[in-house]
Amino acid sequence: MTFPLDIGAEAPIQVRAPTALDLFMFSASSWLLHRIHYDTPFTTEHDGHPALLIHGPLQGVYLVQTAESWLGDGARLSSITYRHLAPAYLGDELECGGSVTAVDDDGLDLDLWIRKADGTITTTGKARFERRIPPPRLRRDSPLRGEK
Amino acid sequence: MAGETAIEVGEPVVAGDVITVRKRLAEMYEKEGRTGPLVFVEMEFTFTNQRGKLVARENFTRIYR
Repeated sequence: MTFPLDIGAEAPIQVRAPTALDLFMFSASSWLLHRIHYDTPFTTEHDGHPALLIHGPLQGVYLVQTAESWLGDGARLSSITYRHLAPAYLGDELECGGSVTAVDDDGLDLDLWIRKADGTITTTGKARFERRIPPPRLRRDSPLRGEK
Repeated sequence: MAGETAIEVGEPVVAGDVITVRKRLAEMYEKEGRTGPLVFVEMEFTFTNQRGKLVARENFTRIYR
């Protein structure tokens, strides 16, 4: 059985517009200390950017989220590569999308991208998802059952 | 600046696992950019569990001005 999607099938576009707090929290949680993600005076006056920059790795997370929320539990991320082509700034609305480029018995390949409202592509990526073995279910007599 | 990133996902991580991270400076080189010299640093992070199985590998490039 092949994966139930055809080459060319497109992921629903997801829009991400991280706030300054989101950028700060991502810096803190990923230990990315570069000030261009949370220190506005440094970013604009010292480095000459128009606003705080949205992290490359955060855009990588958006690519994974776009694919995972589309494919659901039936697929598991096996690998992803991505690269950044243009800066994305606080205030940008990022559209995240992707499409299927190959399908086989074990899974599928995707092209993924993020673009700004003006059409500029900020990040592109390629991901491989493999058919997922269903996660184990709780035993009928498990004490964790019925505690939702 | 963030350059290219490549991530490989291996065994799932479950509660109780002990994960070991190995960080390797794979390569470092200089290129002449439009605004002056740029230093490229390629890192490789390898995550393994207590059975020695690969959990994840991340290769990424950072570009410094």
